Amino acid sequence: MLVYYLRDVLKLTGTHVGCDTSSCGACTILVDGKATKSCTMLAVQADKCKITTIEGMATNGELHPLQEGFNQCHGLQCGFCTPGMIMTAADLLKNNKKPSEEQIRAALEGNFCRCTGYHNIVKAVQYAADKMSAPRARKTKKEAAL
Amino acid sequence: MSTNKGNGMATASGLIGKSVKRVEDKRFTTGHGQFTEDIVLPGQTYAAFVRSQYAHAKILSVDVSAAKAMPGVVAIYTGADVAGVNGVPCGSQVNFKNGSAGRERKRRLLVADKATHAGDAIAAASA
Repeated sequence: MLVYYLRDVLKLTGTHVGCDTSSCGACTILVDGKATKSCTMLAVQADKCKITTIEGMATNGELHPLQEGFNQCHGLQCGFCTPGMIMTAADLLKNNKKPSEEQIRAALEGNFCRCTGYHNIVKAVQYAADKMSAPRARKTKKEAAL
Repeated sequence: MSTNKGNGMATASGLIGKSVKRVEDKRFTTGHGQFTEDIVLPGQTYAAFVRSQYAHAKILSVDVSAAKAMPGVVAIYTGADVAGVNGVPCGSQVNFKNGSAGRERKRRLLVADKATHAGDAIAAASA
């Protein structure tokens, strides 16, 4: 399966295996930009596809707004589900710049979190949506240091 | 803070009622957290368990010969093998108000004589 290729061969262990049955979403990655559960996709099916995992979300050390949002809104506790949540939310925000709370919850229905109760995860996605749609502002010194 | 006069610590730290940012989030949000399954050590083996399919059942016998004969199997353990260490403590002793000790349920690593719930571990294989 693709997730084992990522974890065991490429040593990219940020993508997790929670249930091995496509129920929990911990293994979610982007395949050609589309959120995909990598525990039920054969590695060979990814041939010639562009794969993005959680390790590829930050650019040059700068966190993706979703990564920042999960920290700012306390969207995680143990962190096991977080990579899958972020990848699913990234697909959502690509297609819907300003999702409603209901749309966020619907998009994340295939991702389970056993710690937080989802409320702050939804807030984290809203934080990212706001940040991504806001005109690019200069960073304050304090932000740049984070 | 005015209602917290008795708590010098809270007043001094000023953290009560404040949202405190976690310092460990960056590694989790960037895929660099380390969970048990992410750990790979030289010579590492993996364990699999044989579990009771019944909620309450006597264990009449356990035959490990076929499992032992499989390639790559390092060890097989049954309830009899771990008799010396069976009955591990729960980890926290709870006492009654009058000070008398509460009854502590000792956990069995592997059951030898009787399974008392579906999923009770009967044998473990390391390979």
